[in-house]
Amino acid sequence: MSADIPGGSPTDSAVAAALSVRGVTKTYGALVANDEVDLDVRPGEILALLGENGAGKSTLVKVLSGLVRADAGEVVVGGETLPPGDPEAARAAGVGVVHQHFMLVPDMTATENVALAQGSRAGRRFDSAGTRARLLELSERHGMPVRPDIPVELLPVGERQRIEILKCLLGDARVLLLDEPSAVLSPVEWERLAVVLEELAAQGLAVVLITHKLGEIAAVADRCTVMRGGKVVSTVRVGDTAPEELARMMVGRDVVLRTERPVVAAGPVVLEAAGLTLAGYRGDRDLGPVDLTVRGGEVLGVAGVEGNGQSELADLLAGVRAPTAGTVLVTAPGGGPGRTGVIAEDRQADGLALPLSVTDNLMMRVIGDEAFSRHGVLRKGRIRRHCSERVERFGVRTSGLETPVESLSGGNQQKIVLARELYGEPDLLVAAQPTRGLDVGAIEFVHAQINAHKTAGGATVLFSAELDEIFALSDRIAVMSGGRVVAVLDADDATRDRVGELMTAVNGAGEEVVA
Amino acid sequence: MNRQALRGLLVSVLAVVLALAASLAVIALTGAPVGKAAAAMWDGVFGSPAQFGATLTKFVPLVLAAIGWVIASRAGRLNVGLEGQILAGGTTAAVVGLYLTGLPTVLHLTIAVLAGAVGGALLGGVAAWLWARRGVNDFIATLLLTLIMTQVVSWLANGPMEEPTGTLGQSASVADSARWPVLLPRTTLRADIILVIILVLVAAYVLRRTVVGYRLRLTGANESAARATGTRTTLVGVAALCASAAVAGVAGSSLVLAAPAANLAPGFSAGYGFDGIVVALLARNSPLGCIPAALLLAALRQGGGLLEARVGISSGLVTATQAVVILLVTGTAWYADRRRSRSRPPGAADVAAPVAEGARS
Ligand SMILES: Nc1ncnc2c1ncn2[C@@H]1O[C@H](COP(=O)(O)OP(=O)(O)OP(=O)(O)O)[C@@H](O)[C@H]1O
Ligand SMILES: [Mg+2]
Repeated sequence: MSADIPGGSPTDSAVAAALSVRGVTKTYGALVANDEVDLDVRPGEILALLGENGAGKSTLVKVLSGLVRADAGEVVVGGETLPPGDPEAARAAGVGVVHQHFMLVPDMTATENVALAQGSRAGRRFDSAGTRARLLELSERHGMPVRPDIPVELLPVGERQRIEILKCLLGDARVLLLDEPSAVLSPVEWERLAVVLEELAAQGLAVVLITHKLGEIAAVADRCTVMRGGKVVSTVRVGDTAPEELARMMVGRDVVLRTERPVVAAGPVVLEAAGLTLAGYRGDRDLGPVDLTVRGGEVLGVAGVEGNGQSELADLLAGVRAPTAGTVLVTAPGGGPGRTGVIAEDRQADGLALPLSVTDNLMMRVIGDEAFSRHGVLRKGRIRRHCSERVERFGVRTSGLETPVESLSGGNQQKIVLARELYGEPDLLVAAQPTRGLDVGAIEFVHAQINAHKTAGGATVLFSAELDEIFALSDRIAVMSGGRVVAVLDADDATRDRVGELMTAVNGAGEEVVA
Repeated sequence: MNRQALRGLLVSVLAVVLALAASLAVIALTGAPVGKAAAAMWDGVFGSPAQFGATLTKFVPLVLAAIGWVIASRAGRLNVGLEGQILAGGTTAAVVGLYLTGLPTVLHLTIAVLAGAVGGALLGGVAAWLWARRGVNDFIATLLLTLIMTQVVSWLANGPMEEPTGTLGQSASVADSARWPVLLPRTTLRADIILVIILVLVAAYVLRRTVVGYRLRLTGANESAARATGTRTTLVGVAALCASAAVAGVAGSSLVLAAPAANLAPGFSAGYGFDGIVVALLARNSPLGCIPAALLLAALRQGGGLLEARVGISSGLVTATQAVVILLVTGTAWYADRRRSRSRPPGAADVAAPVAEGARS
């Protein structure tokens, strides 16, 4: 492969670059999201794009795909300069994108979704049968199984993602951009995707992979471009660079990749769940009965293959859904009902009001408190001070407190949820995928926050698809399979193999369950 | 934020100018003298104090209905039954004005207006109950109740509440003590416009600066997140529908208590409830924006009247030109929004049809 030229200077790459970016700048008001970005990707290589939350990665992807018009700079694909802000032209030139937030019509089938993307090019002719055949053929060729006739909203995320990729391939993509594809995948699904990406690269495609997971970069990427504050900091060869080094380049300081788990004397029981049952949580499958007890100063990690009832259990514990039977009792250390903080698994659907401002989103739980409103009238000054303190403390990158949350980067949206839910020291924290989509620096920060909550005597139930995270933070580990807790292990006795075994042993639902 | 508001205003103004030009073009196509038509339009609105007063008289129910729409839609509810709630409020106000006599003016008028608000809120409350307890779509519930209310008013005006001679198919005038005092002599404009302006300001204040307004906006923006963080969203929805309907009820009371005849007649609202929705759309759901938007629509309605009388353009065509204006204005606003939202990921901006599914990060 021609990946032996680490830098990205124009003369080197003009030879064979499938995609080159020259001096792309994009500003939002005073905020510079992309600052003179240069980038080259050659056919047959996988280039990783790494950067903090809000570094401008998704913005760059949107510029490349024509969804956003850059203020300056040009994008060259296969020797041709793309007209700015024209998604149609970008697609025609062979730029395929799998966005951070999928762009499929939920109630259409895979075939229809793909045909829709095609149709706009082929004079809006809707060739359903032809598309279906080509889709299946490609899916077979690349080993990406998809079901073409089921509405995509009923499919698991991994399959939806395969549809997105096939959609690009069907459009004869020469450059494939994937924005945090692994954020929603289970480890097994990621392995599968990695194989597919390597195969595609071997066939001559240029692949740009955005991810926050250093392990994935080490596994598949040839080179890695690091962005910080909208700028490209450097481009390195992955083989020559240690993960710690990558993390340092990206955050600008040393990052602790492994946190120490503090040992805290267990306090009184905070969470007591007894006989929790939810009928028909997936079709005809029942959840539970689940019994759990968590004490103050304790983190209970819940592991399981996606789709085995963890999301539903999280909803029940958070009080967002009512159980069919059973009780959830949260007690404050001093007695009396305790407060629960919730980090929702799907932050955009259940955790944030996207069109509203940063301020509005930070105030959801506490707006009625004496401190922030009197006689039903908001106390603007106090609210503003509270919100700036929160934004500062959690390092949220935003152009202002009145900015709508929908314009924040994914990771910064998650920080808003954390800043709100950890405020006022809740007795119980229900954290579902709390670090999904966060950069390593931010993950370090979140882990520190969870540990601080624990040290302060709070109880935590942590749901995570990352076994590393479960092991790093939990005192006990509950393993779920088929809608039940099949085992609760002490973290000191638990091994990854044992947990992995339990996850898949008893009637595991697997990830291919259709609702 | 402010730049955005300014941009929105600019778009609206541009749209109105475009639309007026287009409607003159339509008139020209029919062969009528354009200059004369334009002059008639102008005179219809500003030609005399009486004309201007009449424009402002139309402005009152329009802006109130629009505020009603804004309140409900900020909470994510679609109250398309404003027209019915106007009728309900007008009816209760008329009942109080007609039968509760012997009170001093200030008191009687106050009670009559309040009765209007209550009447509107009651009808809105029925829709809210259907929505909250019976799972009936709010759009359908409010619309169907409007159809019923139209019949009820017609029956009341021709039956139980008909004036003593029993020949006119409408009620007698309400007591003088229940009528709004004239604001501009020799015009139809009455003092209710002052109350209306106050109501608009109150609505804007409540939405922006109070806990209730906050919960309303939050519920409308994401009901599930609102519920998960302790807002009782069903209650908010019910409250929003009732408040929205109460404001429409006040509009109804004005249509009775500030009208020259000051009585209950079938169809006394003539579609203000629906026009109010258009006003709110023009104003992009901003309470303060409802004032200029309602003025525009009132001027169109009023100017159109003279167009018919003086230039002899058929009333159908007048209505058609008004429709062109409305379509162009809302269309331009929509187009500008779309252009703007293309720079954001689709789905993020699209509340009604969440395309962004699955990957969340
Ligand atoms: N439409 C917009 N309006 C205003 N600011 C925006 C908009 N889109 C992005 N931004 C800002 O630009 C910056 C870069 O955002 P971007 O989404 O590209 O980050 P990212 O590198 O993809 O981060 P993450 O890893 O969290 O997804 C952020 O600070 C974000 O708030
Ligand atoms: Mg991103």
